[in-house]
Amino acid sequence: MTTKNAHTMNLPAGIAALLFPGAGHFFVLGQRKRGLLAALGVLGLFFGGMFIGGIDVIDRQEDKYWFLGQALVGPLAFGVNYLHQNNYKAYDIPPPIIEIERATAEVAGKFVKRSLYANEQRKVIKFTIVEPTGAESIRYLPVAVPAGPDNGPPAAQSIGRMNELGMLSSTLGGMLNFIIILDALFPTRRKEDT
Amino acid sequence: MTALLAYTPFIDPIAFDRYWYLLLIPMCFFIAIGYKSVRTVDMTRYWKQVLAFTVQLVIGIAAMGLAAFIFIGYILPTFAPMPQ
Repeated sequence: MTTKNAHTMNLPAGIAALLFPGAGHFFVLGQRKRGLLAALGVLGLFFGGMFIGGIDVIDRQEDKYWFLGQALVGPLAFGVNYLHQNNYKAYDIPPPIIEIERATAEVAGKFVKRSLYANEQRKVIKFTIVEPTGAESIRYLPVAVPAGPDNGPPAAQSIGRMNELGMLSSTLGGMLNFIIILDALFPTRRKEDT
Repeated sequence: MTALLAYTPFIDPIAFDRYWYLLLIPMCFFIAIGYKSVRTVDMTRYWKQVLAFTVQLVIGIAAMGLAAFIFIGYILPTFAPMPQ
Protein backbone atom coordinates (compact mmCIF):
# COMPACT_ATOMS: atom_id res chain seq x y z
CA MET A 1 0.00 0.00 0.00
CA THR A 2 1.51 3.31 -1.07
CA THR A 3 0.97 6.32 1.15
CA LYS A 4 1.76 10.00 0.78
CA ASN A 5 4.94 9.76 2.89
CA ALA A 6 6.01 6.40 1.51
CA HIS A 7 9.51 7.69 0.76
CA THR A 8 10.23 9.42 4.07
CA MET A 9 13.84 8.85 4.99
CA ASN A 10 14.94 8.47 8.60
CA LEU A 11 18.67 9.20 8.48
CA PRO A 12 19.38 8.77 12.25
CA ALA A 13 17.75 5.32 12.15
CA GLY A 14 19.85 4.39 9.11
CA ILE A 15 23.06 5.53 10.78
CA ALA A 16 22.20 3.69 14.01
CA ALA A 17 21.48 0.51 12.01
CA LEU A 18 24.81 0.91 10.25
CA LEU A 19 26.64 1.19 13.58
CA PHE A 20 25.06 -1.91 15.13
CA PRO A 21 22.58 -4.43 13.68
CA GLY A 22 19.02 -3.64 14.76
CA ALA A 23 19.98 -0.42 16.60
CA GLY A 24 18.01 1.73 14.15
CA HIS A 25 14.75 -0.06 14.93
CA PHE A 26 15.51 -0.51 18.64
CA PHE A 27 16.71 2.97 19.62
CA VAL A 28 15.49 5.39 16.94
CA LEU A 29 12.23 3.92 15.62
CA GLY A 30 11.15 2.53 19.00
CA GLN A 31 10.45 -0.91 17.50
CA ARG A 32 12.18 -2.86 20.26
CA LYS A 33 11.10 -6.37 19.31
CA ARG A 34 11.87 -5.83 15.62
CA GLY A 35 15.31 -4.44 16.49
CA LEU A 36 16.17 -7.34 18.79
CA LEU A 37 15.09 -9.94 16.25
CA ALA A 38 17.00 -8.19 13.45
CA ALA A 39 20.12 -8.19 15.63
CA LEU A 40 19.59 -11.87 16.46
CA GLY A 41 19.39 -12.76 12.76
CA VAL A 42 22.45 -10.76 11.68
CA LEU A 43 24.63 -11.60 14.69
CA GLY A 44 23.53 -15.25 14.54
CA LEU A 45 24.81 -15.45 10.96
CA PHE A 46 27.97 -13.45 11.66
CA PHE A 47 29.03 -15.24 14.84
CA GLY A 48 27.62 -18.52 13.48
CA GLY A 49 30.10 -18.14 10.62
CA MET A 50 32.90 -17.57 13.12
CA PHE A 51 31.74 -20.57 15.13
CA ILE A 52 31.85 -22.76 12.01
CA GLY A 53 35.08 -21.52 10.44
CA GLY A 54 36.88 -19.78 13.31
CA ILE A 55 38.23 -16.24 13.32
CA ASP A 56 40.04 -17.03 10.05
CA VAL A 57 36.82 -16.39 8.08
CA ILE A 58 36.95 -12.64 8.88
CA ASP A 59 40.03 -11.53 7.00
CA ARG A 60 40.22 -8.23 5.14
CA GLN A 61 43.73 -8.97 3.79
CA GLU A 62 43.46 -12.56 2.54
CA ASP A 63 39.70 -12.75 1.76
CA LYS A 64 39.02 -9.16 0.75
CA TYR A 65 36.07 -9.85 -1.56
CA TRP A 66 34.22 -11.78 1.16
CA PHE A 67 35.03 -8.99 3.58
CA LEU A 68 33.16 -6.51 1.35
CA GLY A 69 29.97 -8.37 2.33
CA GLN A 70 30.99 -8.96 5.93
CA ALA A 71 31.76 -5.25 6.38
CA LEU A 72 28.02 -4.52 6.04
CA VAL A 73 27.58 -5.94 9.57
CA GLY A 74 29.18 -2.66 10.68
CA PRO A 75 32.06 -1.69 12.98
CA LEU A 76 31.82 -5.11 14.64
CA ALA A 77 33.23 -6.77 11.49
CA PHE A 78 36.10 -4.28 11.38
CA GLY A 79 36.80 -4.93 15.08
CA VAL A 80 36.96 -8.69 14.58
CA ASN A 81 39.18 -8.18 11.53
CA TYR A 82 41.49 -5.92 13.57
CA LEU A 83 41.71 -8.55 16.30
CA HIS A 84 42.47 -11.23 13.71
CA GLN A 85 45.15 -9.22 11.89
CA ASN A 86 46.93 -8.10 15.07
CA ASN A 87 46.57 -11.02 17.48
CA TYR A 88 46.46 -14.14 15.31
CA LYS A 89 48.58 -13.48 12.21
CA ALA A 90 52.31 -13.06 11.83
CA TYR A 91 54.80 -11.74 9.29
CA ASP A 92 56.25 -14.26 6.87
CA ILE A 93 59.95 -13.34 7.14
CA PRO A 94 62.79 -15.56 5.89
CA PRO A 95 64.60 -17.30 8.82
CA PRO A 96 68.03 -15.67 8.10
CA ILE A 97 66.43 -12.21 8.48
CA ILE A 98 64.60 -13.29 11.66
CA GLU A 99 67.93 -14.48 13.06
CA ILE A 100 69.70 -11.14 12.58
CA GLU A 101 66.49 -9.21 13.51
CA ARG A 102 67.41 -6.45 11.10
CA ALA A 103 66.50 -5.34 7.58
CA THR A 104 66.46 -2.29 5.35
CA ALA A 105 63.20 -0.38 4.95
CA GLU A 106 62.99 -1.59 1.34
CA VAL A 107 63.17 -5.25 2.39
CA ALA A 108 60.89 -4.73 5.40
CA GLY A 109 58.30 -3.11 3.13
CA LYS A 110 57.83 -6.47 1.41
CA PHE A 111 56.97 -8.35 4.61
CA VAL A 112 53.41 -9.70 4.48
CA LYS A 113 51.22 -10.87 7.36
CA ARG A 114 49.56 -14.25 6.97
CA SER A 115 47.70 -16.92 8.93
CA LEU A 116 49.93 -19.48 10.60
CA TYR A 117 50.22 -23.12 9.55
CA ALA A 118 49.68 -25.98 11.99
CA ASN A 119 53.43 -26.48 12.49
CA GLU A 120 54.16 -22.82 13.26
CA GLN A 121 53.85 -20.50 16.21
CA ARG A 122 53.69 -16.73 16.62
CA LYS A 123 56.65 -15.01 18.21
CA VAL A 124 57.13 -11.27 18.74
CA ILE A 125 60.68 -10.11 18.06
CA LYS A 126 62.45 -6.78 18.45
CA PHE A 127 63.25 -5.81 14.87
CA THR A 128 65.50 -3.04 13.60
CA ILE A 129 64.56 -1.29 10.36
CA VAL A 130 67.29 0.70 8.65
CA GLU A 131 65.98 3.70 6.73
CA PRO A 132 67.66 4.86 3.47
CA THR A 133 69.08 7.82 5.42
CA GLY A 134 70.87 5.39 7.76
CA ALA A 135 68.53 6.10 10.68
CA GLU A 136 67.36 3.03 12.60
CA SER A 137 63.92 2.44 14.04
CA ILE A 138 62.91 -0.36 16.40
CA ARG A 139 59.63 -2.23 15.89
CA TYR A 140 58.13 -5.23 17.63
CA LEU A 141 57.01 -7.61 14.90
CA PRO A 142 55.03 -10.84 15.24
CA VAL A 143 56.77 -13.44 13.07
CA ALA A 144 55.97 -17.02 12.05
CA VAL A 145 58.52 -19.49 13.40
CA PRO A 146 58.55 -23.31 13.60
CA ALA A 147 56.51 -24.53 16.57
CA GLY A 148 58.04 -26.38 19.47
CA PRO A 149 56.64 -29.69 20.78
CA ASP A 150 54.12 -28.00 23.10
CA ASN A 151 53.27 -25.01 20.94
CA GLY A 152 51.19 -24.23 17.90
CA PRO A 153 49.46 -21.37 16.11
CA PRO A 154 47.12 -19.12 18.17
CA ALA A 155 44.25 -20.08 15.84
CA ALA A 156 43.89 -23.14 13.62
CA GLN A 157 43.77 -22.24 9.94
CA SER A 158 40.31 -22.66 8.50
CA ILE A 159 40.23 -24.76 5.32
CA GLY A 160 37.80 -26.67 3.10
CA ARG A 161 34.07 -26.81 3.71
CA MET A 162 34.21 -25.21 7.18
CA ASN A 163 36.04 -22.21 5.74
CA GLU A 164 33.59 -21.90 2.83
CA LEU A 165 30.50 -22.19 5.02
CA GLY A 166 31.90 -19.91 7.72
CA MET A 167 32.69 -17.17 5.21
CA LEU A 168 29.32 -17.65 3.50
CA SER A 169 27.41 -17.40 6.78
CA SER A 170 29.19 -14.26 7.98
CA THR A 171 28.85 -12.63 4.53
CA LEU A 172 25.14 -13.43 4.47
CA GLY A 173 24.94 -11.69 7.87
CA GLY A 174 26.33 -8.56 6.24
CA MET A 175 23.95 -8.76 3.28
CA LEU A 176 20.99 -9.30 5.60
CA ASN A 177 22.07 -6.28 7.62
CA PHE A 178 22.01 -4.22 4.42
CA ILE A 179 18.30 -5.02 4.06
CA ILE A 180 17.77 -4.08 7.72
CA ILE A 181 19.68 -0.80 7.27
CA LEU A 182 17.46 0.07 4.27
CA ASP A 183 14.36 -0.78 6.29
CA ALA A 184 15.50 1.50 9.12
CA LEU A 185 16.32 4.23 6.60
CA PHE A 186 12.90 4.01 4.91
CA PRO A 187 10.63 2.73 7.72
CA THR A 188 7.38 3.74 6.06
CA ARG A 189 7.96 1.52 3.04
CA ARG A 190 6.96 -1.74 4.77
CA LYS A 191 4.26 -3.46 2.77
CA GLU A 192 1.58 -5.85 3.93
CA ASP A 193 3.33 -9.20 4.18
CA THR A 194 2.15 -12.38 2.59
CA MET B 1 51.27 -30.88 20.20
CA THR B 2 48.79 -30.32 23.00
CA ALA B 3 48.24 -26.72 21.90
CA LEU B 4 47.02 -27.92 18.51
CA LEU B 5 44.41 -30.15 20.09
CA ALA B 6 42.93 -27.36 22.22
CA TYR B 7 39.78 -26.05 20.62
CA THR B 8 38.62 -22.47 21.25
CA PRO B 9 35.09 -21.63 20.03
CA PHE B 10 34.91 -18.76 17.51
CA ILE B 11 38.71 -18.85 17.13
CA ASP B 12 39.24 -22.36 15.75
CA PRO B 13 37.03 -24.01 13.10
CA ILE B 14 34.70 -26.82 14.17
CA ALA B 15 35.31 -30.40 13.00
CA PHE B 16 31.96 -30.89 11.29
CA ASP B 17 33.11 -31.60 7.73
CA ARG B 18 31.34 -34.92 7.49
CA TYR B 19 27.89 -33.42 8.11
CA TRP B 20 28.52 -30.00 6.59
CA TYR B 21 25.17 -29.98 4.77
CA LEU B 22 23.31 -29.90 8.11
CA LEU B 23 24.72 -26.42 8.71
CA LEU B 24 22.29 -25.21 6.05
CA ILE B 25 19.46 -25.45 8.60
CA PRO B 26 20.75 -22.99 11.25
CA MET B 27 21.98 -20.69 8.47
CA CYS B 28 18.50 -20.57 6.89
CA PHE B 29 16.92 -20.15 10.35
CA PHE B 30 18.98 -17.04 11.13
CA ILE B 31 18.32 -15.62 7.65
CA ALA B 32 14.58 -16.10 8.28
CA ILE B 33 14.80 -14.48 11.74
CA GLY B 34 16.51 -11.38 10.33
CA TYR B 35 14.50 -11.10 7.13
CA LYS B 36 11.09 -11.63 8.72
CA SER B 37 11.92 -9.14 11.49
CA VAL B 38 11.64 -6.35 8.93
CA ARG B 39 9.08 -7.91 6.59
CA THR B 40 6.39 -9.02 9.02
CA VAL B 41 3.72 -6.42 9.70
CA ASP B 42 1.72 -8.40 12.28
CA MET B 43 4.36 -9.55 14.77
CA THR B 44 1.98 -12.06 16.38
CA ARG B 45 2.49 -14.20 13.28
CA TYR B 46 6.29 -13.74 13.34
CA TRP B 47 7.55 -17.15 14.50
CA LYS B 48 5.09 -18.99 12.26
CA GLN B 49 6.44 -17.02 9.29
CA VAL B 50 10.04 -17.63 10.37
CA LEU B 51 9.47 -21.39 10.47
CA ALA B 52 7.67 -21.38 7.10
CA PHE B 53 10.45 -19.31 5.48
CA THR B 54 13.16 -21.56 6.99
CA VAL B 55 11.48 -24.64 5.51
CA GLN B 56 11.06 -22.89 2.14
CA LEU B 57 14.75 -21.94 2.07
CA VAL B 58 16.03 -25.38 3.08
CA ILE B 59 13.81 -27.17 0.55
CA GLY B 60 14.61 -24.63 -2.18
CA ILE B 61 18.39 -24.86 -1.73
CA ALA B 62 18.29 -28.66 -1.42
CA ALA B 63 16.21 -28.82 -4.64
CA MET B 64 18.70 -26.59 -6.47
CA GLY B 65 21.54 -28.81 -5.23
CA LEU B 66 19.72 -31.90 -6.45
CA ALA B 67 19.00 -30.25 -9.82
CA ALA B 68 22.67 -29.29 -10.21
CA PHE B 69 23.70 -32.86 -9.29
CA ILE B 70 21.37 -34.38 -11.90
CA PHE B 71 22.41 -31.87 -14.58
CA ILE B 72 26.17 -32.28 -14.04
CA GLY B 73 26.12 -36.00 -13.28
CA TYR B 74 23.60 -37.27 -15.81
CA ILE B 75 22.34 -34.72 -18.36
CA LEU B 76 25.60 -32.92 -19.22
CA PRO B 77 27.54 -36.17 -20.01
CA THR B 78 24.92 -37.12 -22.62
CA PHE B 79 25.82 -34.20 -24.94
CA ALA B 80 29.32 -33.45 -23.71
CA PRO B 81 30.86 -36.83 -22.83
CA MET B 82 34.23 -36.95 -21.09
CA PRO B 83 37.06 -38.44 -23.20
CA GLN B 84 37.82 -42.01 -22.17
